[in-house]
Amino acid sequence: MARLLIMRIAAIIPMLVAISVLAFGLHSLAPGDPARLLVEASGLSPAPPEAVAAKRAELKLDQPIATRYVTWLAGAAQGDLGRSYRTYEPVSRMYLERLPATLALAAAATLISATVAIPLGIFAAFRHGTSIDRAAQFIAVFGAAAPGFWVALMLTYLFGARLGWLPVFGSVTPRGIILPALVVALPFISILTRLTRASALDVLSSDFINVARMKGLRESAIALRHALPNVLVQITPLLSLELAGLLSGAAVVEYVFAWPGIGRLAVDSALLRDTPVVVGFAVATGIAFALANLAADIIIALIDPRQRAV
Amino acid sequence: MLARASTYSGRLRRHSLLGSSAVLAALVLAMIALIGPVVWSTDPLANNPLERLQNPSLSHPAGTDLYGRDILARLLTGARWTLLGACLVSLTVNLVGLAVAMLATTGRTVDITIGRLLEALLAVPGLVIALALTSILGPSFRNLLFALSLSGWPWYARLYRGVILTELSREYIEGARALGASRSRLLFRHVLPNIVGPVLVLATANLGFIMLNLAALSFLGLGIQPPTPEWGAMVSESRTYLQSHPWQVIAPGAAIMLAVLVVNLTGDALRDRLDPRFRV
Repeated sequence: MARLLIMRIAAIIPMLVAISVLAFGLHSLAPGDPARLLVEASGLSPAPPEAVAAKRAELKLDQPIATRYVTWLAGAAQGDLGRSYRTYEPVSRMYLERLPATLALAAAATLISATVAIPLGIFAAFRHGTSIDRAAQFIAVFGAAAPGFWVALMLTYLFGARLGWLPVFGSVTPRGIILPALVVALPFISILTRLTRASALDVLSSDFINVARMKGLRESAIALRHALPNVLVQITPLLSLELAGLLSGAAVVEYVFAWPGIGRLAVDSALLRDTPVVVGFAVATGIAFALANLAADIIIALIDPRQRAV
Repeated sequence: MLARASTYSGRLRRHSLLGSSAVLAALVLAMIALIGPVVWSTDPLANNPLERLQNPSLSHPAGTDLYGRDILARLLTGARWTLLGACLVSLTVNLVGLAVAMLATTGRTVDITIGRLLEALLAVPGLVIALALTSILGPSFRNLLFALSLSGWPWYARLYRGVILTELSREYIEGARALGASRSRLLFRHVLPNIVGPVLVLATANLGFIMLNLAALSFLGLGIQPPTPEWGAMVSESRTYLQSHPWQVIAPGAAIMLAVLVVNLTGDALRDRLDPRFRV
């Protein structure tokens, strides 16, 4: 187990290097003089030339690009992702402050999609070809086609304005999280239902299920004790890859619901062309992806004894 | 047993019926984008302050927006931007992805290098890279298409690499190799014609995804700029009037959803027809 863990952690290092190259590349693409923009953001406008020159030396802007990258990477490794062009706040602090709201949203969305999609997918596979199966496929097809920002607006209209049941904008409360989490969950319900159904169909055709049937086990026991663990093993790696996508998908939803999370920060900064903050989002989602990968590997090792030997 | 067989064939028939209607709807959608603005020739940009925010009527079948512009005309013109834009992005990412995948399968070192590179590039979601790129390059439709293409291709490259490798492990390839066919001949004369089916299926199945991302970034204001109509931008423009005039928001959003639905169902139909291996 320890060896497996070390191997998996080592495997994410090239990923982190690539994320850093990408982030630095995006930084370098941005127009404008970073030194001047930062000095102006710190409150000195128009920027005095000597302050700009000092900033330029601090950021090593007159050095070759390789040196600049190493400097940037050394800072990033210590959690320094630069400062905002608007507020001069450190980018990493801005993200850390808003991370809890996004994590809450992601957790709620994951909970919703798992509780809806996994039972639905397994049930659809058990009742293959019936109306329940068709209903599951219908949900999957619609969930994949609905634009999140539009569904968000429709739900705010229906539940917020018409029925007045739920708070609509930026309310970080158990009631306020329902609508945004539902919208974030929608595409995942679709993907997860499809995956679970396909995986369960696959599992149901294997020999051990036949043996379980011949032993005279009830269908519910077959579903819970025999089918479910094997389905979970198959869908966990795919699910973990979708989780990082959840962060980027949540950006648009957070924007519509004025949810005070990292996605909304990224969108607001993108619209105002605050490059350091926007690039910080790429770093944040990249790290989240790497960690989700790692978590998936560990979970699989825990629930599937066959994987532990690897 | 007989009853079982008959329901199975019934299911198959229903499936192909759904498939055919999806393909038909996709053709209608393409026709709407192509000749729609010609048939319904009202100017999508003509302001008319006297007829603002109207619900559907005979003279304006889809109503008018906050500047009194005809929504149907805007939807039809918007179809061109959304659909054409998504098709352009799809074409680019598929061709680049296919080319990189073919390059990857030519040697062991190059495969490992490209594989690592793809794995790393895929760590950051495409939408996030596209968001950053459109922000850095400045919001315009051209930059949006560029950003979506640049951030989208690694996913296709990884997918097609797998498709090509599966094909390369088949027996007929073994035979061609035994006859002394070169690597490039194998790839271009044998593998490529045989993977057209799966490539077409994957490209169609993911076109809807591209359409959604395109609409989302346009909605955020990072794509086409007003007054040009685009479906995502239309939702954004009218959201201030959501409470008083919900129809303004419903119409363009429903257009996006319907179009994506049609494209996705067409993808499913193509998959059932062309490539039973990918059936999920």
